[in-house]
Amino acid sequence: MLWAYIDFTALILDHACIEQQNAPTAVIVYDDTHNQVVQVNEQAANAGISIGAGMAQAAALCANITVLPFDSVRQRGYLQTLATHVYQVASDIVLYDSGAMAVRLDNLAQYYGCITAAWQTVQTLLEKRNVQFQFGSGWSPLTAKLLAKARLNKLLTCHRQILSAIKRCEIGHSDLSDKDVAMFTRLGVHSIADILTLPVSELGRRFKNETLIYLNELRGETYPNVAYFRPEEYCHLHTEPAYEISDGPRCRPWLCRLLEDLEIFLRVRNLVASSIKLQVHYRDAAPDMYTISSSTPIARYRDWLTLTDVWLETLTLTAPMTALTLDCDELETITADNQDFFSNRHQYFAGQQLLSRLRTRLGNQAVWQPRIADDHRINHPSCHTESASARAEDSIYPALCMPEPGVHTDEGRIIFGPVRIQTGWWDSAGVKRDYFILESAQGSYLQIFRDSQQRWFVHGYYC
Amino acid sequence: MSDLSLIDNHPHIWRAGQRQASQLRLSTQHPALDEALSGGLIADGAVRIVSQTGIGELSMLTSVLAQFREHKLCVFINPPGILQPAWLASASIQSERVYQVAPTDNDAALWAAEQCLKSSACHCVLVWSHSISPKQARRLQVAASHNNALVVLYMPPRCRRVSLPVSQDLSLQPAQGGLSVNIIKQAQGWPVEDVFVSLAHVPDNQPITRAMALTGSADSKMTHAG
Repeated sequence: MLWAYIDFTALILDHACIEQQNAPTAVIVYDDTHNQVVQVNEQAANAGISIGAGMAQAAALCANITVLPFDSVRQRGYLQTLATHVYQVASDIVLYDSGAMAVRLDNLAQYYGCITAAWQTVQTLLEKRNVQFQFGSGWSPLTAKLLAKARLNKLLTCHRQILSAIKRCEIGHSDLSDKDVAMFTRLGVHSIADILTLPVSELGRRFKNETLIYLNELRGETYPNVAYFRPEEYCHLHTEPAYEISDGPRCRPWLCRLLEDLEIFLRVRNLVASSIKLQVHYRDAAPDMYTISSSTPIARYRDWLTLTDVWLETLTLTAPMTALTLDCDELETITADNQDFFSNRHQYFAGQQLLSRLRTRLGNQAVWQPRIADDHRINHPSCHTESASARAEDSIYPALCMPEPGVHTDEGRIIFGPVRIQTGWWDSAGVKRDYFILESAQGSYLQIFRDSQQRWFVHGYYC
Repeated sequence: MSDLSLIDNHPHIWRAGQRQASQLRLSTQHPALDEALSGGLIADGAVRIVSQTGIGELSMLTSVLAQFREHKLCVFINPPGILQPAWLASASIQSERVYQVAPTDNDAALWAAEQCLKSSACHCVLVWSHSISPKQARRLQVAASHNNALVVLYMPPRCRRVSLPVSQDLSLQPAQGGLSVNIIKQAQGWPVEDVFVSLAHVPDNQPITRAMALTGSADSKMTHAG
């Protein structure tokens, strides 16, 4: 058996940051029952706030800080939603209350070709959800958990490699209670490697049964006793924005996410729905119920979005909204007149499998999607970010650009230009370039530019 | 006699006298080229295009690329540069369905192309390659026709010309205001030479020159009147 243990380090934080991807302020998640910070974002970490710090320390380190309350029920809800997504690509999933899940990989290998490809698929899916996680792999969920806690973040499939990785782990990363750890320290045992070499009879004399069961499972000598995750039969989706929304149209991003989840829910089950129920929750008042119906049963996100956009335009909230629930219990199976639905379902997964196969062989950097960035610099790293709006008017851009501009030597005549691009003064990659289009003697159209030192470079091709 | 009629009925036997294109075509929206290719590029098969870089060899096919089959991808493998999203937007190609693959070598590029075709997740696969054997081309052709996808093989003109088992084999030359297309061979059709395709994929300074000329003549009139 091979299990992967995925530890979501900042589940509440990731969920709250859907809207402001690059929140400039420091955000922390604070657990008031234990008086400690449990999740920090990048800005907070840069300010020196570490996990486990108290509120006073955090407030002293950073004056301008956003604090989100830790809520285990909410965290479990997010974990359930994530598990529903992972369930599309994996079968045996175990959820842990600490905000983690274990996925069995070895039985997926026959569907994905190899264990690495199966893991790639799971990983790609999680990355798409914009959640941060640490992971480890091992022959039982507990072994994988130990490696995940040790932040190995590597998929090990070979028995020997896993064993040597476990032996390198510190005792503090394991699930042993503080009392047991203290006892081991007293005995002069400081690492997992030492514990594993001790004979079971010796351990039995000194330690409780639970400790022995844990160590047995760590060795892979017992079959893991776990409760598997089972997805819901009806679609019930719930989201809680990190702040209260008083303006109806502003809840669109949250609604979009629910509808995306709805589409996936319906698609994997070959179902369509003709109505959805939306509940808007308030802090004090009873929730408002809205039903949105479609004339023909539909499943696609875009189709639902056109309907909900109409609803959002007329929505007036009586009080600030705290949560949004989407229910869909009148599900219909596909009839013959929307046959193409089946092929779409197949293609969605075929596309996912293709990507994981290409990435497995060629590497993650070798496959990407072109994205439009809010920057005039060509090939600037921001081109590969998700948050971008289309600028269709830029027909002056060539089809292909070289990663690095080359020195220009060709003869030819200039047919367009100059277009000056002078930008980027706010970061170290500032440019000042005059772009021209050159028709070379061979008849090719090249994008060339002259930099501030009057040197000429070729940058792209009008293919 | 009976043997001959058997051959006649075989679906893969085509006679030059028959002019029916049974296979589905993707229109290039260039009437002359569509006419010469009996309807457009083949929808499920391999097409080789021999062309130098930067003469409009991609812009010629924008309408083929934009005719997405529902939920399918368009994959660019090993193009001589980084695909620009702004160009995709101006060619009305949905960039969320486009992937670029940068393989390490020519063999990896052909491997990736075959994987893309076999996955049946792709509408169109464009591969830039400098050498391909007839056997490899045949593999791509079979994979494409079995999975309802189009594979376009771009090759530079300096590469050694070998005859490949592809459905359509084109070669492009730059021409004033567009391209001149030579159809070297095509399944179910005759070779055609010098099909002119007009393209306006590159902006030029014409509007400015025209405006300058107008203001210039207006100026001269004014001085004349003065």
